[in-house]
Amino acid sequence: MAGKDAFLSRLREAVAVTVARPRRALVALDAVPPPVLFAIDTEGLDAFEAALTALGGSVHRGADLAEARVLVLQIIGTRSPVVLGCEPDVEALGLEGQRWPDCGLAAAAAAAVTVVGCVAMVAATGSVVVDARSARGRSISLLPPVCVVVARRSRLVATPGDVLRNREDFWAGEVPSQVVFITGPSRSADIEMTLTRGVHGPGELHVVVVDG
Amino acid sequence: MPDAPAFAARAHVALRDIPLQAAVRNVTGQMVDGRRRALAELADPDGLRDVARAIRYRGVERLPDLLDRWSTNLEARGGQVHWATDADEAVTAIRGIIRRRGARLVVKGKSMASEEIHLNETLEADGVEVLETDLGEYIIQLAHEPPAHIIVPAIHKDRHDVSALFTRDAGRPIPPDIPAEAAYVRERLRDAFLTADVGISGVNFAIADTGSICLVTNEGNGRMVSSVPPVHVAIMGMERIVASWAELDVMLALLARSATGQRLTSYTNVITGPRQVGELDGPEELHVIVLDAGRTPILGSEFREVLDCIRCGACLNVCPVYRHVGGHSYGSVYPGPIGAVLTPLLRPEDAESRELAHASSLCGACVDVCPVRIPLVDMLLGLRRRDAGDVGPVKRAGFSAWSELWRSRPGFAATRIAVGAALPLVRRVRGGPGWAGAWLRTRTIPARPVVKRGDRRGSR
Repeated sequence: MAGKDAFLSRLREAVAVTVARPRRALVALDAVPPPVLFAIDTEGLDAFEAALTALGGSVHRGADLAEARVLVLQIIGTRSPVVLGCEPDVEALGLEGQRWPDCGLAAAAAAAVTVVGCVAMVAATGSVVVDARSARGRSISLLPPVCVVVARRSRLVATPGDVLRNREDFWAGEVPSQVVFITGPSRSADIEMTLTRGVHGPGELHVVVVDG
Repeated sequence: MPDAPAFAARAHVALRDIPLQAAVRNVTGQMVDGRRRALAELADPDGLRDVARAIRYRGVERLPDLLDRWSTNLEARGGQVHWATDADEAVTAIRGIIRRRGARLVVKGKSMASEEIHLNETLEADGVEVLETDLGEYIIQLAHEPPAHIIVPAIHKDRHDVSALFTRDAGRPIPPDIPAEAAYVRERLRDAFLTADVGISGVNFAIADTGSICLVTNEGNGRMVSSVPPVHVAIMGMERIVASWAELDVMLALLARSATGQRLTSYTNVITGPRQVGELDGPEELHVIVLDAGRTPILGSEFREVLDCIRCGACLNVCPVYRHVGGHSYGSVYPGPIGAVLTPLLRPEDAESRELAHASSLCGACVDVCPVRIPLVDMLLGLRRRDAGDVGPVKRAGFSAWSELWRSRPGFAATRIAVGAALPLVRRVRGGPGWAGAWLRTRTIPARPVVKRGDRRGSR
């Protein structure tokens, strides 16, 4: 096994070789590349809802916590067991269920429904952004077949770049060990390009948006 | 070229495989449409491709510095980096991790780099069970075949093929119904995720600023293998790095759009180290294998830009050759135009791979769709030129004369008429006269110029 220094010194020799400049000129590039601009509507909850709905997810809007609680309970229906994430947005709903992370991984793996929070919703892509620090883990939003994400409306941003390019606003200091943009339910088109949902991750994805 | 080119032999088999032809055309056609629709959602997709190209080009130029910074940052977060000069070193590093952990079961996400190093065969020979967890990869693992497409590995299998494979795997009937087949894989692999000792994945991008790796998947298996087992090993081609999250933003805007026509894949996952304090789950250990395996010589050559590739597969879907012969004809991990360039460069000792540079009509459709604008046609020509070596004064004079003749419109028209008249006669001679016959069997003179002067440049 080569050490880092030996490995990189071989690379340094190779990049020092003058190769022909590309025939097609390169555009000038600043340290920070220009933002990604969209031709589609990326503003507001309607854009988010349109994007997520197109992927087979659903958006539910509640005027306040009480309404959001009812919406979540309707989604859960008779399904059980339910695991609840540890984010303040989830805890504020006062739901009944097993509480992550106290319940442990096995309970999360056996749950029918999971209710988690998120750090952002992205209108352009219909994504919700979850991370391992606020969720205190990686699997709770992944293992159960139904995932309910609770989000304050104020967490809505327009584009992925609004999160990726402003990570200090979301995670001061170090980034969490995992940041995931969840964009619709788990899907596969590996057989005959036919869409199937819920292959390994949740086949149902609901986002409950609370005003304020 | 050898007398019986292996590519040609495999391609002839594929060309007679009618279901394969239909499947490949269906899948690639859908992906071409999806890509077009998804790129149209961007305000200036071609301008963004220019930016992406510059990011990749600059990134490859600064590769040693980016890798240095990235690895320092990842190690500060508790990750471990293994520098593998070749496939053997990569496999040795992974076997070492597996042996130290006493691992018996490995779950694996999709990784083209792991195909390069033939990891599964080695681990299985060690008595370790290795399960591919991507639906398509699981199918071809059961079929004992290599992937036929970078993004859709089982592109050539229909629901009936899958049903037969799954029925044998399950020991009970799994009907030829796609939801039932997907449900079987979910159930079959669920316990494996929860009990596996090691998860192995690829890497789509490393990010130098934070020491992160980014993994994009749709099924969720990429999240599983990187979240649930106690050890996560990620295998990364050494060139797959960007400087910052802002650069990642640009690359992500193009990757899924170019690959599958999605805005983002279902799970776009940025991992920065193993489980941190306060987190209940996540792996105790994160290892990233940085794989050279033939890349450094490319870096120092006229083909450097091929390292800009982000493995979206868009060039496969538009390639008329790929669409006819499918992935297996190429006999390499990377098929299609990118494979025709990359494979002979990564495997210079493999004489057979050289013929891949000829598996192209040089139509340039691949260049038109490449999100980072790799000049694949120039590279195919460069490879052909390099392999031709010195052809001698006679051939050189002959080809120069031909080139001069076809450079003029009247010259081209005259040839068309003359050859058009002569062809039936030439073809009547059984097998044709020597090499000319071999050449003529698969070629004809176009009735009229297919592309008007200037058209191609305008569309790029």
